[in-house]
Amino acid sequence: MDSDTLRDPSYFAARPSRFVLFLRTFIPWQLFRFAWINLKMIDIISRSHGKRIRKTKGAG
Amino acid sequence: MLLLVSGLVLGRGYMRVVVLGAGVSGHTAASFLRRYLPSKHSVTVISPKSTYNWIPSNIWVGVGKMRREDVVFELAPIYRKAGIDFILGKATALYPEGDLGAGQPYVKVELEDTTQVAVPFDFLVNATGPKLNFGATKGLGPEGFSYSVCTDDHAAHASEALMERIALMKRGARQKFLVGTGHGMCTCQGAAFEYIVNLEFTLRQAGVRDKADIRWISNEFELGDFGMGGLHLKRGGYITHSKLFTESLFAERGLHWITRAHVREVQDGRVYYENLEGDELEEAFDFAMLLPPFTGVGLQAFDRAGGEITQELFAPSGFMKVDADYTAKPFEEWKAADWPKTYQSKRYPRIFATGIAFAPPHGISRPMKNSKGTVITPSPPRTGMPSAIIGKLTARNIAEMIKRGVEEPRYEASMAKMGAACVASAGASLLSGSAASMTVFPIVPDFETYPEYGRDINRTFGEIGLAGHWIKYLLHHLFIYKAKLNPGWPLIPE
Ligand SMILES: Cc1cc2nc3c(=O)[nH]c(=O)nc-3n(C[C@H](O)[C@H](O)[C@H](O)COP(=O)(O)OP(=O)(O)OC[C@H]3O[C@@H](n4cnc5c(N)ncnc54)[C@H](O)[C@@H]3O)c2cc1C
Repeated sequence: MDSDTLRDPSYFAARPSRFVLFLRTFIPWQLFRFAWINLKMIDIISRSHGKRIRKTKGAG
Repeated sequence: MLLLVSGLVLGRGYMRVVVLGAGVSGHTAASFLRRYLPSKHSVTVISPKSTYNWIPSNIWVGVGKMRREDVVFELAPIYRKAGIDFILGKATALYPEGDLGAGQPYVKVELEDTTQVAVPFDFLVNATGPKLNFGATKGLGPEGFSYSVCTDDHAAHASEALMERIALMKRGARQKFLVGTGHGMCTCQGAAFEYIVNLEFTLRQAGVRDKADIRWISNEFELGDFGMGGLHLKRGGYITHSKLFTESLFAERGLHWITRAHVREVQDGRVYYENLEGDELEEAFDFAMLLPPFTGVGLQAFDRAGGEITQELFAPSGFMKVDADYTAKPFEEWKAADWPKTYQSKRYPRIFATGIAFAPPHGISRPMKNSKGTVITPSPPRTGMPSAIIGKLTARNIAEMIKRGVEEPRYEASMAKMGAACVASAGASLLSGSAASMTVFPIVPDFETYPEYGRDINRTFGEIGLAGHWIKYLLHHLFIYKAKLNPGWPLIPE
């Protein structure tokens, strides 16, 4: 290994294993992830559309 | 000469709501205003472009995966069908009190043929988004030596240049690509991130990846900052920062990176930058896609007597001041509560600013300067989801104010109480593509509610895979369907 490799920050980064890479495009697994990610996103969207302003006591 | 646009003057009890800008935020606000308000009230959109652009898909235009026509459509027929008035022109100045001649508030608008007109309003939504400030860095942008994907035209131009590079590589030439941010105070790192990974994917598909050196350059302190200080995620039994996630993706794709960089100048084939250590460095390239910093679009404001009040309505960045706490304070004292909730101007309660057009109270990422005093810190992003949510919220508030005859908004949605779902494309293909799907809650960290990471760790997540690409692709079609106000459009969430 040359010293340039050791200077490159990408040498120190975590890399996915072959199994993780396989799962990323493995259709049955991705169909399941598709449903799961959608649920996660619906949860976020449902919490993010604002709310009615509650007046504190004494205010206007 | 200043004319008063006719046909917009309505009788007593009828309100005129004017929306400046037909982007994600303004178009959402106008569409919902029309839906919420009885037809006796008018809704008018003013925009200098005749088209709507679904900006997130510009990335795919920029790598030749989509055509420009796939991401834009004409607004006039949509507005005609919906009962929204449309003026093709550029707002230049606000007269929130009118002037000595006209007693009512109006916006000065420059039409396509440079005629100046005054458009009167009772309520105003400023959703003018950003000015793409290429001028902040010498040589930056399509008129200089780098490309951009910020507009559909820019993206189409970038794609043409990329195709030429690919042709050269097919003939055996090596090419150096540089992608990232073209100034120390840029935002929108997420878009540059999408571009670099899509570029890499496209080169792989074209069979020329081995001929390409691809490098990232950005003003982030660490990769994965995205202008929001990054995010912490639960992954493999650890809670890790998005730095790990982003570095891993870059390393896996053979992308190299430079961070903490302020690009000072772009010349033909070379960028000159300084970093946080104060070093002055340079980097060569054959093709560079560098995003510009954003400012407000340069609206001016005048009081009734004609005195300039631009500084009272707008922050020095040119974005409009709303109900945020703009007191200058050190990073340690920044609070979630500083962020605006109703996006209403404090001085003029019938004026609102939504999406990118509102001035954030401060950044989200920790501010950094080098020894020369150069600020190298991402500005806070306002991505599509919050821009649309804020547009809808404002429509709701204005409709309530009109219906109930009050000056106070009824609903609030602070970015410190709002989450964001984001899908960053990492390669467009239905079977071999991928995207990073992320949720973050809240967008602006709230260290009082979530002392450790500022965010709810159970609602902040990210993963890469094909499913993300399917979602991104569906969202492209869904959001364009919605923006065209096709049947059922209000059911599609922002
Ligand atoms: C390449 C790219 C990719 C992106 N990808 C994503 C993504 O995947 N997900 C995401 O959530 N966000 C993404 N974003 C961010 C998203 O596009 C913005 O958050 C969003 O467009 C902001 O909406 P806006 O309405 O505030 O501004 P804009 O969409 O920019 O709209 C501004 C409008 O104002 C008009 N205007 C300008 N000046 C005037 C004037 N003087 N008078 C009247 N009208 C005027 C403009 O013509 C335009 O119609 C991306 C951004 C870029 C650049």
